[in-house]
Amino acid sequence: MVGLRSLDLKSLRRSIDFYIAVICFGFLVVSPLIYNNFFYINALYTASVLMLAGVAWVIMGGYTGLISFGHAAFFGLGAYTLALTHNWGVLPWLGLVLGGCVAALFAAAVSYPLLRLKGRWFSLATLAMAEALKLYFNNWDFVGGSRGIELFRKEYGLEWIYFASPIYYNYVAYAVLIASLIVLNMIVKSRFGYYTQAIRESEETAMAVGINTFRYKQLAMVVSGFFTGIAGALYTIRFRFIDPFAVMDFAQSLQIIVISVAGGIFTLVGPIIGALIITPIAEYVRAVLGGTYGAKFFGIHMLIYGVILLALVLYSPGGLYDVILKLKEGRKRE
Amino acid sequence: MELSLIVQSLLEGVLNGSVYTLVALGLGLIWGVTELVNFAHGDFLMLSAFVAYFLHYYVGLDPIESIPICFAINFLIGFIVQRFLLNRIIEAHLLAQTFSTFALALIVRNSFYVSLGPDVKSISNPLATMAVDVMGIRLSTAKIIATAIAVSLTIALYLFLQKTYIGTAIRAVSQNRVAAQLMGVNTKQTYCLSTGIAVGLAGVAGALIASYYYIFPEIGPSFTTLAFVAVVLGGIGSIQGATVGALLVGLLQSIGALLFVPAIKDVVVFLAFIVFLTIRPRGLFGD
Amino acid sequence: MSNEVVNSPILRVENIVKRFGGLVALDNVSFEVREGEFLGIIGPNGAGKTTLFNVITGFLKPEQGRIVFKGVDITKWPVYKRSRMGIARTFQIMKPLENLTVMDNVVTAALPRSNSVREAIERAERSLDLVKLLNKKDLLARNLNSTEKRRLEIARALAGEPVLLLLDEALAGQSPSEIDETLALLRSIHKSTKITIIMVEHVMRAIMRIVERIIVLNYGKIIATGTPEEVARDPKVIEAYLGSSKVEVSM
Repeated sequence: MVGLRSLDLKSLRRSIDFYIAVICFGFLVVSPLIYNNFFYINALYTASVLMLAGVAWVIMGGYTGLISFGHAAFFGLGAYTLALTHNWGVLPWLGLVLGGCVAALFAAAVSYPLLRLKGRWFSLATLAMAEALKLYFNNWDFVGGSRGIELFRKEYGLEWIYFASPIYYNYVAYAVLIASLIVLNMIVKSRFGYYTQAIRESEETAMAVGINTFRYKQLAMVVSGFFTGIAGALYTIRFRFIDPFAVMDFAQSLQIIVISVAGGIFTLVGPIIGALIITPIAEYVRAVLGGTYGAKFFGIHMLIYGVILLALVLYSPGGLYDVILKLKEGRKRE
Repeated sequence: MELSLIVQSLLEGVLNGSVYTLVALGLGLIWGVTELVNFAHGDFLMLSAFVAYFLHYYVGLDPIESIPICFAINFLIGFIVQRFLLNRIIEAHLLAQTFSTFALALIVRNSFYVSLGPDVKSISNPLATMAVDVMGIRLSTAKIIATAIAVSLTIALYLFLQKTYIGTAIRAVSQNRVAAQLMGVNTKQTYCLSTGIAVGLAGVAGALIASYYYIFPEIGPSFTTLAFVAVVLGGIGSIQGATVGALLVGLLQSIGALLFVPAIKDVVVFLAFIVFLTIRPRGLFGD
Repeated sequence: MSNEVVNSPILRVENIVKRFGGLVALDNVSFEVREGEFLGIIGPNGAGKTTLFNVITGFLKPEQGRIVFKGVDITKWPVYKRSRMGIARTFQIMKPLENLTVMDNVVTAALPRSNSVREAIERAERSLDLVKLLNKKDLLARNLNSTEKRRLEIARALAGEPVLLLLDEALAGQSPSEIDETLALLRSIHKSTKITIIMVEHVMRAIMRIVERIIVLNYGKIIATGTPEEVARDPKVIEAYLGSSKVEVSM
């Protein structure tokens, strides 16, 4: 498999993961204090949301080998759950968790039919699933249809996660992100991590050693869905307006995939690197070019993603993480 | 609701379905021979629809007359893509295989988006407005002609695969790559040919659709999805399967539009797909 | 005082019929295996040996017949459930978990029968030590050569401390000295634990030396059973192998 390091330095990898995470978080926490730019802070927020979704994505994609093109469905479900419960009077802290739960339940439900398909057919099916869900939400009055939902105004403060100054949102997001990462790290180090990777490598062998492969694939989907749902909820509480095209569209799935593949899909730390590097640039480019080219810019955005993906996949499927590993290995050998 | 309206809707579903057949056959063919899922399939259809559009406005060709050109162009594209991109990743990791055609789809789709803009185009074509009226049932002439062409091509494909040397080589490779190689079949060449044919068929579908439908860069994904559903419903790896599956998809769309709102007809198709997957994952004719 | 049967059959294969379309791969195959036995299964190519293993382990479901393991009818059980009950197998075409380390490969196999990751790691270390791969535990499985991969297969199968071990051509592609090593390993495992081993093999000389009893399959039917000596002399067996260059019946 191209992309996984061929030198066997497990301990090196463990310490690298930790250092990378520390550096990235340090950057996330400190840089908005130094560069107090509204746009930049927003971009970092979006990056954090994508990091969470990306880390959730690689649980399915990188660890279990279930490549999903429809994560927008989980993202959107989390977003809508938060929006609806918020407007019904439920505190967003609970709403975040509920968002994750709804997405997780949906994942569990669709796992039954979807896991009947193997490999790339599964991936195509996830694509169809997300589109169908979006179409449905677009025509469903209960969730506002194509008009979407706007969050009601509440009192400023931590209780309702509603702030006058945007920077506070970032720290909330970082806290949620760190908590999620800790949980996910524990999950991945447990037998879940061993089983899912075994399934990715050879499902037959996994079965032969006693792993209930369906159950663990389903579990991977549920865990992935849960945290992606939380990511969607995080998006909503900040930007305060959602509609099917903002949170359930293929564009969301694509963003999640691109940052994960760019950063490295075989590690939890990959999407963190990927989002940190790609998102600010993408947002900046979108702001600058969007003004000049208008609607057409959207296409350039996607076109560039397509080219990046193709290049990455052909030449470095392990993403940036792999590059870092190789650099480190090179230095260690000397 | 009047009976004639229901019958008309169902018949239209069948007509739509026969055009989907061409797309589904192509998707199934690429899968069967190269084991790759072509995420870009619908986008190649879109490409061809635009070709038909431009041929209409700059050269004055009727979409039906454009079919040979559209097929040829798409065949070439399919051949070249397979030769220079896909042949390289056939033995590569699942990641590379899944993402390559996916990235290709993005590139094709958005190149059109960027250069031509998102505006919807359509061909104003006398055929598009004509209709055949039988016992209160109105069916668009363009669709009837499209169906006739689609059916003939499906039969032609079947005969091609059964009776010609190349067709047999394609079938051999799809069944057992190694054995085919041992019998002297150049597998790489065969991949290029079959992908060329598959994309060419999508090209024909694109030209046909251009004669009665809207043309804009985003139409690709929905056709890919419909073809995918058709192939899974019918059974991955079977020609009859892809055909029946496609007709079924057309019918399901009509039923969805009748029972609910036309806007969610594709949701109905997908739901039926989910139910079907749960109870009969092999599809109707699958292996 | 009750006189318990000391060697009750741990595995009963009863009237198994397996068809692939029109082809009958296993034709009413029945036999028993006593606990602690070391059984060999031989037969020409295509006789149905691997198919038999696939039916016993659950990768294939028979059209007719039953598999009874430790007194339980497991015919309808999924693969993983049988494995958890104590059946382990190696594969003829090896499928190691390529991109995981040797250690992780075996830990994964030990986990289903362990209460914690720590316990699984201990089991894995013991297993790797048995096959002498402990020094390579941090290498990626794909970087092993094929003999080492075979040893890894065995370590993986043993990691869960199975009760029944099915070896599918575990000696394939090994040099004579490597074969001797593997046989010695198998012998010592068999002696020290009460493990039951069923071994499918093509390398006749090796299998004749190590097993207690042999079953001979041809065209999906059992054509002979008995000790290695009896089987070697059986005219039906000789006829089945006639023309095959793999036959080395003289010992």
